[in-house]
Amino acid sequence: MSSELTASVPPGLLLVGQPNVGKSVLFHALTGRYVTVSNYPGTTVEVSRGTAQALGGLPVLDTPGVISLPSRTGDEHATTHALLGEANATLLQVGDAKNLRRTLQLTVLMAEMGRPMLLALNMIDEAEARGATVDAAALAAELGLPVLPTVATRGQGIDALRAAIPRAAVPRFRLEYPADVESTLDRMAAPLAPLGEGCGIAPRALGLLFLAGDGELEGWLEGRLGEGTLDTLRALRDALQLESTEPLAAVLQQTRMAAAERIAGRVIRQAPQAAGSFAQRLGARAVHPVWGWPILLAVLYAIYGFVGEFGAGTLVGLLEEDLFGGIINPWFEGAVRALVPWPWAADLLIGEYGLWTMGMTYALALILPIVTTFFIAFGALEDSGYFSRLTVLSNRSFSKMGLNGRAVLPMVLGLGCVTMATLTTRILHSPREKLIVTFLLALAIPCSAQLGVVMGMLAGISFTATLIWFVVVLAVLVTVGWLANRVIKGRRIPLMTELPPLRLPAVGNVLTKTWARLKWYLIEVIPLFLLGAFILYVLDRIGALPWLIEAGEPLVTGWLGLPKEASAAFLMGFLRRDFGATGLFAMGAALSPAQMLVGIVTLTLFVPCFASLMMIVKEHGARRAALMVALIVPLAFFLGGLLRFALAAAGWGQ
Amino acid sequence: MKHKPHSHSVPHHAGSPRTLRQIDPGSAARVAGFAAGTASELRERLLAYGLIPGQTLSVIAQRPVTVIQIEHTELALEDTLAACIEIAAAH
Repeated sequence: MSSELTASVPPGLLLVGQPNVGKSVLFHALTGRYVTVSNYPGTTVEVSRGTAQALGGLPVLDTPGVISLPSRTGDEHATTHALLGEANATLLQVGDAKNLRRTLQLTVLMAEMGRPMLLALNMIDEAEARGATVDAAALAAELGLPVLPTVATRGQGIDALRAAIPRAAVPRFRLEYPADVESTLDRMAAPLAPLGEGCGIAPRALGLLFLAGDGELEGWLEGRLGEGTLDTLRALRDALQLESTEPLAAVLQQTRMAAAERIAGRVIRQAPQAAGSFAQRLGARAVHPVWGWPILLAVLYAIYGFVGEFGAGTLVGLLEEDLFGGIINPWFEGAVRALVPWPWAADLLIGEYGLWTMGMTYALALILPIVTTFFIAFGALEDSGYFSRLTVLSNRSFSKMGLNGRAVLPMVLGLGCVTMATLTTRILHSPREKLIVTFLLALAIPCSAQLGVVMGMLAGISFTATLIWFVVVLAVLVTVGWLANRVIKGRRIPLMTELPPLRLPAVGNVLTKTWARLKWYLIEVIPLFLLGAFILYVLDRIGALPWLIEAGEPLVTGWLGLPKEASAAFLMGFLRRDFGATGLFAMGAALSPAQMLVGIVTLTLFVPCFASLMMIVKEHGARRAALMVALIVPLAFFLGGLLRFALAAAGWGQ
Repeated sequence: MKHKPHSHSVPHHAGSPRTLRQIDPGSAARVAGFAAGTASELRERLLAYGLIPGQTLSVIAQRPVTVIQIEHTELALEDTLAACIEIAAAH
């Protein structure tokens, strides 16, 4: 059986579909490779690769969602790029069964690509819960391709899908566009024909994308067609456009939508809908101009309780003080002193800046419990569909920064990891939005590790301290965003976004996601923490650390009013902000509440960690990254000092 | 934003058809087309979400932004976008 299967295995499988339909869940089901899955559009911004062992090692590619083609945003371009680049891969369109019309308008385009293709009608359970029944067999007959109902999150229909993949054929489907479009397509077929073989896309489909003005395709063609041929194609397109008052892309889209409507009408049976469910009513409340805010506060307070008090308080207390401080570290120190005869080597392991006493203890006892609780809380919220509601609620505030509510997604993700969030700015529509959001992320959004430490420290002072910190950082965010909007030229793009249904988070998915993030976190963090401790140890050994601490004194002691030892924390902050915050945390009782707060605010605003700096360089270039750092560092210290004097004037926490 | 309680019964000039922005929450409407001057990229996106002439939709909210439901998709649109969508007169 296996040899027969291998013989007919296609060269690859490309998962395509609209945002938030479950491509990544299906990718995980087919390949066993985990990619982040959430309940909001735009989670996947890059192509992921895996292999399906059950299908003879078939390569599988997951792509960012596209509402429709042509591609317009950076993440959508990645999808067109994959379509053009993965010649001969079978297409697996993942569609949302409860939104069949929208699914089908993409299907009728994909079906003409000239590739073997299947359609997975995912979330068929949600369609049924809403009273819609889809006749999959009738739909398959209409489209001339296999249609498989699935519920990817629960593994339903996956076996049938797996069995159907090797049998997928090029669909027998052709959509008739308006006559003048058809004749232009005919005339474009000849110049495009030689390319069709190379990329495995039928000339007709290439022509359709070209007419719609797909930017990614245009660039791809430039490298492959002579300038003369490309000019011919452009002339044909311009001539066609002159005949129509509507933009060509809209004409094509309208034709596809009408076809989708006809087909859907024939295969869907919609029972009359009952009144809105509890989830639907809660979803409406969450974006309500009045009710939305108490709901947001309740959500924030729940996170504060779980991460700040339980994670950073209870769990850290158990791990750091009781387990590491009381049992592991004394035992380890005793063992090292007994076994290692050289004091410098013993210090390297267990000294003040020891690899174990600083590096590993920080990473495992302080940060790990905090990020674990944060990842759990965050994963549950991602799964619930609540974050998309925040888009609507925050739209007005973001409009003052020249952004729209969609910017809340990278910002909220930044609370998880600023590095990943910087990558996620690709879901934004204009380079201007990307730039503003990236800058704000680097300046004023603390990542989960740092946030956890910060919350733990603030919760240790008082709720007022937490509130002051929150208000100051928020004020900086809004003010700088407002200024950026004035300085950076360009137009604001109004909000349009889908609101996925609110769902109860699936425990399995939240835990898998938490584990995937933790694994990634530990792999990234532990070496950096060890490196950080090692650098401090070396600086201390060669006598440079006291010198650096002295050098930082005017700034750290004179301006911020902190003990000069806090310089070490800022030094550590260059490596990772949470490492710096942990350094302050470790100083504990040596700092007054006001000093602690000033230190925390300065570190929150301080340069982003090394990894996210690299990401900024990757996304925006070294020049802009350097400019951001040059703006952020002085600003952080400047505002920290201002806060010091403001607190002193108010007589708070001296 | 104030809503006219019976905006559908208010006569309007032939030159300025009603837009999605003016439909009361809780009521259904049928798309007539796009206002002149709607950018082509915006048209495509609205079309892709199913806002094609003849399509019926229901309006869930008008504040803080316009929220509509087409098929089983909830879509949030800022007021400037909602004002680009023209609504067919009832009957």
